Amino acid sequence: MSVADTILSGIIFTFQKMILPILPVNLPLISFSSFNSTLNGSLKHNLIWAFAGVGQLFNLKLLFILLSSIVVGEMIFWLIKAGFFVVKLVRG
Amino acid sequence: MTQTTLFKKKFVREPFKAIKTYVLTALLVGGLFLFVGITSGATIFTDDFNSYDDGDLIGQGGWTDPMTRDDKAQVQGTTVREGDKAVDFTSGVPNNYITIRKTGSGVSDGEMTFYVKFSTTTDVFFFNLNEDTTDLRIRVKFDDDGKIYYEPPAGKTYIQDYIADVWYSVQVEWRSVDKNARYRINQGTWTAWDNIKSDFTADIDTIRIDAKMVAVDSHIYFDYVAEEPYTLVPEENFNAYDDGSVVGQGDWLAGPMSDDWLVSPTETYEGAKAILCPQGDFCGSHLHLSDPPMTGDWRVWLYFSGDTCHDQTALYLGDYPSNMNTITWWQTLEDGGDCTIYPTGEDLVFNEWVSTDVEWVLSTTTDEGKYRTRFDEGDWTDWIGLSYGYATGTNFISNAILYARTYAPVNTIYVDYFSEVPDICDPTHCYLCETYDTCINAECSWWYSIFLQESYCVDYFEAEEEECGPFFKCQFCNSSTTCEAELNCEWKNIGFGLKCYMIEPEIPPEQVEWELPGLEDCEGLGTVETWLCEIKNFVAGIFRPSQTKIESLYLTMGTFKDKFPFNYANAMNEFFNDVDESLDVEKEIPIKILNQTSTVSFAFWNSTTSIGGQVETLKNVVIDFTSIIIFFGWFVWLISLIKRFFS
Repeated sequence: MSVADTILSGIIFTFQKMILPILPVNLPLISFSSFNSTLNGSLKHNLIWAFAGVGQLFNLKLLFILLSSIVVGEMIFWLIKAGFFVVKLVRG
Repeated sequence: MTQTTLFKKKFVREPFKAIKTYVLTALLVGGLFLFVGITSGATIFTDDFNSYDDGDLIGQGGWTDPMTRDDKAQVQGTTVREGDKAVDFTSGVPNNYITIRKTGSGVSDGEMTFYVKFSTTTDVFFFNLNEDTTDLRIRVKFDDDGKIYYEPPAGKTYIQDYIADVWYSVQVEWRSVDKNARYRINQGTWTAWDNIKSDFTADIDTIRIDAKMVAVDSHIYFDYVAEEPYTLVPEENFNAYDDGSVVGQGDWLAGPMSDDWLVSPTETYEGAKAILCPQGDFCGSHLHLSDPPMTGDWRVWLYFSGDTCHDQTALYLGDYPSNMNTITWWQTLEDGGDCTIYPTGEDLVFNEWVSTDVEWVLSTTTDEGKYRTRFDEGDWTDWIGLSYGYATGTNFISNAILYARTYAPVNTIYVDYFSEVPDICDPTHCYLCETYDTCINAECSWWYSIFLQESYCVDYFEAEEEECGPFFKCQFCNSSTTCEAELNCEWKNIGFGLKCYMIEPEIPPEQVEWELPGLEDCEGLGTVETWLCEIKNFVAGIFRPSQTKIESLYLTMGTFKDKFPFNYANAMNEFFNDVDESLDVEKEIPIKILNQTSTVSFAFWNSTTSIGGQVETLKNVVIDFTSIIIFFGWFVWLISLIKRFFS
């Protein structure tokens, strides 16, 4: 058995016995099949057809990118604010 | 600012504001999923009308009249199919229409059942399934010629006849894979899958009914809208009965024999009590069915103690006191000590509980019907024809008549737990099919997860030809040429047309895509080069993994794909990719004016104009303009964010 085989055996053992068994397939509140069918079924269809035709008037890609950046920016902003608050709370 | 105020600001108001923001954001995101609707359910809505007040249906339970007719559908409790209330369409004016409509959850693969009864066959009844509330997709029509039709894209297709004063259940099932639907009346035979009136884009979400009351003061009764038909076959477990004679308890009545079946806790299949016929008796009691279905199935459990039987121990479905054996559910036949069960022909089983099932279909247009039985979950018998008095309006399965002869040397006979026959592996319950053979014979598809090394039965799906391959991938091959070229595949017809199936339903050997690169080929080199090459190969070999280990690592890494968070992340990735692709596709804006549908014409979009000497289409000009506005708005937000950050 080569050195590489030994290393790979260790990696495979770690994955199979220590990591994979503790990883779940489904989340407690929403199973994967519900998540997938909602996301790639109803939500995707409704989103696509809700914006059907609006693409004639707007650059939808730009719109979604800017909207996403606003959502992410606000989330980061509030996370930072919350972090500063916790620090102030601890330091007094 | 006082200390108290500072304290409140730091420890009450600001945390509360932060928590409020996060909670609201979480609710918004979570609510978005719920708002757009979950299509995991297989029907639009369920409504039995039982909780409504008598009078106008419009305004109750979400029912509307989009056409604001003069006559309204009425809720009443006189003529019902199920429960306390049903809907009555009636008008005192000839040729008046009555319309009702209700929207529920959108379903792309689903089923709807409803019940309808006519006082005359001269009215017209349209049952419509719509998309986006108003767009007609599927239609069933009870026409004024006494016939039931469904409507394909053009014309109408006959299903069967109907008559007055009989409840009909109508089942409609539709699927998204080919936008086809099929239909069934009174749980008879399904029609073949066929094109619907107009293909739906996303899903079906609305029921609309239009009733044309041709005859004055005629009635059309409408009840119980749900996914599956309502069953009136009673469940009977005897657990709440008093010990002693079963006659007078529940719907059990005396006869046809003088000895009654007895309720007892001695030997039961389910719960605390069962009924028995003790040794030495010839028992005969019957269970009256107040409203037996024209189509149904039923199961009962039997226990024969000892090792012998008598003839004339039986359970029939029929009328009482005459024509009792319209359907022979089961009957013992004794021949020189051997005991068999009629009509299945199976040997009787002693000293253990065994099930017997019966399924029947009675025509609602003739006196004919059929039934079949099954013993101990074996094979069903072939359908057995029967005649009954439909033409006279009498239903000859209004009783379950239970006989047992336990004269010596026959010991005690026990009967317990009447119930519906449980769902079995069939095209509508693919998940119950446990083997490859039962799965494909139920017209389902067999799914194999290469990484989880699991395989199971799923609802039928059409696969892409490019996935054609050996073993479980045989089902993806769409021609005899590609099918026969694959290992363990054969092209054959098992009743669902020519398709490709596995010859032997075997789990394929592990297949990986990582190949180990070979060592350097030292042939044809000079002497020194050969030595160097071989030394290099020797050193490389020490640190070179084997193909087996590579394959094992590949499979291990692949297993992560089906575990959290990778499976959820893949689903998100697929979602964003599909949305991204769809944004590149130009779509039309549908509009509807005076019941005429069309799309907004953007014919002027391609007109060109000159801006600063540059020729541009009007569409590009408008989009550029709106893009500037959007970007300007975003820029204002960015400035405010920076100001808030440093404030």
